[in-house]
Amino acid sequence: MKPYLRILLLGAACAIAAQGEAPLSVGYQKRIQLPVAGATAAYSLDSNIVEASAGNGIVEILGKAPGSANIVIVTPAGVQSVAVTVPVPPPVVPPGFEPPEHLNAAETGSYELRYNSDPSQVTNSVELKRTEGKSFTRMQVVNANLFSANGSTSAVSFPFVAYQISRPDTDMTFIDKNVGNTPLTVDGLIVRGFHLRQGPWEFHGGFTSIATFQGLFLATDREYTAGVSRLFKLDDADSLQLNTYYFQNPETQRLVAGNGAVSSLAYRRKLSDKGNFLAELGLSHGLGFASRGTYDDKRNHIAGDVRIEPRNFASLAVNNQHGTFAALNASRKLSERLYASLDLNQSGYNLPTLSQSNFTTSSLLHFKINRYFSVNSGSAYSSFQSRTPAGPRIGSFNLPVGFDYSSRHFGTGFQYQRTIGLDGGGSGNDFTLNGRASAGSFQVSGLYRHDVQVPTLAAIFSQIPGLQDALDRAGIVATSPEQLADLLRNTAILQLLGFTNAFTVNLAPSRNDMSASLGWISRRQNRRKIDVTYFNSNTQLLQGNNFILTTATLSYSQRLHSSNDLVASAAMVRTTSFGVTTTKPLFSVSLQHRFYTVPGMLLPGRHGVIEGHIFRDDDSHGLYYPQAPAVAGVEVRLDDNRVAHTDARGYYSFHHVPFGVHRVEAKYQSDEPFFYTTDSPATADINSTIDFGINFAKGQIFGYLLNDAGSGISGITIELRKAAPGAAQDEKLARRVSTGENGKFAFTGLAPGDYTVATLADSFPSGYALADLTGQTITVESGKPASTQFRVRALRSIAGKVLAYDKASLQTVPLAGITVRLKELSLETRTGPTGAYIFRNLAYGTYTIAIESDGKEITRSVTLPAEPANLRDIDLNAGKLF
Amino acid sequence: MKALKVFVAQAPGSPARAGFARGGVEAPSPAMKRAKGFVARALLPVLCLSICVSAQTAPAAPAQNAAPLRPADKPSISLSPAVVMAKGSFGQGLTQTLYFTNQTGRDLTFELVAEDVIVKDGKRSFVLAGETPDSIAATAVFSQKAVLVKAYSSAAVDVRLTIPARTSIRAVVAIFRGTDVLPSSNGSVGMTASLSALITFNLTDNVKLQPEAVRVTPASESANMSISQWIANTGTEPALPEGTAAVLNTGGALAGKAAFAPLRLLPGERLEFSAEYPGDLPPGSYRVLCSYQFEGKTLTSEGKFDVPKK
Repeated sequence: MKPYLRILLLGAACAIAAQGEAPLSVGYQKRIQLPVAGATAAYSLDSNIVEASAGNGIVEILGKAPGSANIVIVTPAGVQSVAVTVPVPPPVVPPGFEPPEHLNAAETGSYELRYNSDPSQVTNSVELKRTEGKSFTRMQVVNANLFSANGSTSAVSFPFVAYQISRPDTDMTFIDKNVGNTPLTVDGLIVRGFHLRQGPWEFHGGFTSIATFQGLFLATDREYTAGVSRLFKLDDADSLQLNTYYFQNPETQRLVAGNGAVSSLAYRRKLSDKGNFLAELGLSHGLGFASRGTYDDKRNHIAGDVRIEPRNFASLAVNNQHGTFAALNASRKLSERLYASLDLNQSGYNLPTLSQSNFTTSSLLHFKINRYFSVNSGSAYSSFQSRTPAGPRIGSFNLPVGFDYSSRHFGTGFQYQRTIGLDGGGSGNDFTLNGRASAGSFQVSGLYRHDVQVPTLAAIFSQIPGLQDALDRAGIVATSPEQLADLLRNTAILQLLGFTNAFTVNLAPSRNDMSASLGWISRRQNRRKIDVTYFNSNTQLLQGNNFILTTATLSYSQRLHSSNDLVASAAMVRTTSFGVTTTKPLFSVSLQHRFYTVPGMLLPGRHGVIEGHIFRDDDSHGLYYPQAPAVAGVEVRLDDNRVAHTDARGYYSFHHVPFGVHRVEAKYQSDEPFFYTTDSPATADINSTIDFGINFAKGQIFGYLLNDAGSGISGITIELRKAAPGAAQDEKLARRVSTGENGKFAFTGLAPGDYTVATLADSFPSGYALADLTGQTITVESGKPASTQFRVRALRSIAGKVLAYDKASLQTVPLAGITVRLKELSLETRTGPTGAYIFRNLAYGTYTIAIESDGKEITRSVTLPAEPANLRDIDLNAGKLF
Repeated sequence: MKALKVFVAQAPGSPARAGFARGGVEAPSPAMKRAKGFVARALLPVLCLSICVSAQTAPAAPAQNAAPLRPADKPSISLSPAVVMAKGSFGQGLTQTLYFTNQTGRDLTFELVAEDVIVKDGKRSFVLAGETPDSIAATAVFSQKAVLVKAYSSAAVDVRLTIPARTSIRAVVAIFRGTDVLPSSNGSVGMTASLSALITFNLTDNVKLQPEAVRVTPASESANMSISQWIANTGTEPALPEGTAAVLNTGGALAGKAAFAPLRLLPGERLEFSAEYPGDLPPGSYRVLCSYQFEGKTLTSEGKFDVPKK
């Protein structure tokens, strides 16, 4: 093989090995291709999970079922294995399926204290919520100093106070609620009053007097509304909603929004779990129409919003949407590598004090060349036209093209854009260069952008301290026509309510932006994070001046213990406009605390008791009974934050336990090895009993009682005595057991210590040598078995007579003094006067008894069993006696 | 104490699985809940059928959660899950529910016991609870000491086990030991039936397998080509290797492959893995790669063989 080919193959192998660090993910029922140079074969080690094949240097992997498996790839350089994971697809839940109620129970809450230095505003926010299945109760209070359009000072107030009781069929909210009824009635506005939903009926009544911008609460004059709606379900997906609302605005806002009633009919459709659609037709002082919807699936994303409201259409003044508005955001994955997106935004304000028509559109194609590189190109058009107040029409056409490189630790991109100014504007070239890198806990990024013929917000004037700076910064951050159009839509309310002058758009000949950031994040539990950012924007204005904004920001956040978070930032903001430079420090601090319980006095809920006993369960029954020995002083933990201890009866209890599933765990401590005979930790609902059984890992003595032939002796009593410390004679009888068929015996459940084990002589049947019986001292340790063995000699003998036939007396007579031999053991004995002989203390086996008569050997074979045996009448006939 | 992670292999209750194996040997099963049916063959319960001449009587509690079943075509009994693979650490506890299904026309009673499974000289043996140091079986707590399973019914029994702080044991069997003598149809001696579920524990990362040489037996007129390899578990933890034998031609292309029947290897155990390739290979030289995956690791060894011209 040529050297360069080896290097190539080695590189491919290294690439695969590097991928092997993290399992390769292949979607369920999806197929991916992996280029592996020189791959000749591939196979899966679990074909039920994944299937693999290879050809022409391409490895194809199919995810067949959720799970993990390895595939083996064969190349000329060797064999490599790659771990592949097929993720579990989203669960398909049968229609109407709902999880059990008790699984969704919680008490949660949060408190936040936030301070912003410019404008100086202190905000206290408290939210407490108790969830019990499909029901919940929630309390929210926000306290802040509010700014109004009429003055530069603020007053302490409560911009949001709410108490909500929600049940499956009823939802009742007192005081404030963010009402999102329909686009032509009340759409995402805070209404202070009373709110009720009962079945298909919904009522909202009260007034609104708060507007918000970038976290700032701004007080407005009271605008009153009351309305009722009725929902008609057509089927599971479709419904109609009939609405009747009345609006009453203060005299100062009559030019913004008219008073009167609105009746509307809204049609809603739910597109399974992929999206929704709404269309509404309303009648007031004119005919209004609104529609909105979203759709998402694996390839497509569409979000659209259309609204047409005549100038005199009755509404709350804080609702600034009078005119014609449309927005569309769509994207589609055309192939595995090609991705297209389209944005369209139209705002046509039709109000006495604001008449503007803004239109932006852009389309972009992204092509992914490989895992790291991608290119993009497209076009964009924007037009901003303000008639009231009068302003020039500003239009531009852009042709962007760019490329990106992105890997795990490094990324960079370059974007070029040809900008063609319309309506007399010039043309030019824009470009953006960005980069990022990360290593360990550090991240660094940077950007440089040069734009020409840039639509920007004209100078904004506001009496509210800090609001103008906030608007300036927001205007600088809006770098694209789309972002500028969004900003105009979001800030129109400020000028309508008199907080600022009217916004117009100017065309800046050029703008240069530069930013850099360095971030560090701790991998420890405190999640400490530090960010340092620098941003400089230099906008060349039409008047020949430059607007320069420079900010340097240091941000810090940290988790304090497990329930508190601290977020703080300090920034220096320097602006230069018309040759005047001002430098201002900005501070903001936020302290957040999370609650895991809520006061029952504020949010009443279902509570109960979890109780039980901790007991010694020496027999491992796993069930508590009243006579069970109690274990006192044991710590029991509820959800790892409440602690109780067992009393002398082994009883513990937790009272006022909120509804839901809880974790209860016994924390018994002992030097002696033990185990729980019940689950610990255990899960429990309220009003349940959880008992914990404790057993100690005891020792045991087991063994065998055998005879000298190795056979077990059954039915013999074995006695166990516990040795008293220091006095063997005071041994206490502990237990007796009988040996089994094979001579086995066992004493289980023994506490550590010394024991004496002995056989009981009385229980032996006859035939054993009981004089030799001795006990054995055995030491038992926790969880350790000790084994022993007893051997008892069985008594066996062979006896008989040596006889001969006496011809004289014609009868058999015993022969005395004859030598009888036991050949195997070379034993000899002589017959007594009666001719009798005996061999004692014989082992199990077969023996040969022999005598000699007339020079001949006379023998007899005898087998002794394993058990005790006294074989008699083993007579030997010596022949005839003359 | 924390609970162990448990991977359960479900045993089927179909009459077709009624077969018997010696104690300690895992018998094959045709249907597992998981698609990988071949795994089931290695995960069957240990079905101990012992001949006895006298019936033992034990106090039997009525079956809990008893549910009537439809009579099967052939009488059978089954225990599910057959194998439980628990993963955790020393000191943790495990509670497992075992379901016994009686598809016979007789009420059956069982006493419940746990025994440690140890490996001696490469072979498994069951040891009574407590007779081995740091016995896991000695910590077994059954929700019932004995159970009566009525005809065509099932019963559930919980067993709780605690891993001692130190132990070399990695497997336990929970045994439903029959106490009824089953009458035989031909008047011969009666029998008792016992079923057991194997529970294994992986407590550390020390999983090591030692493969031996790959052996290839060429196809003959009466047998397929077979590929076999002995593997020993030299680590301290159980392993369930799943493997594939890939046959490569001289160009490195895949000529055929066959799956090894998975076998569970307890620490110290040594078993032969074998696979059959039913296809015909053209004459020539071949390489065979035997690859196994276990506990996220891969093990590959290689052998060579020739297919002669006929």
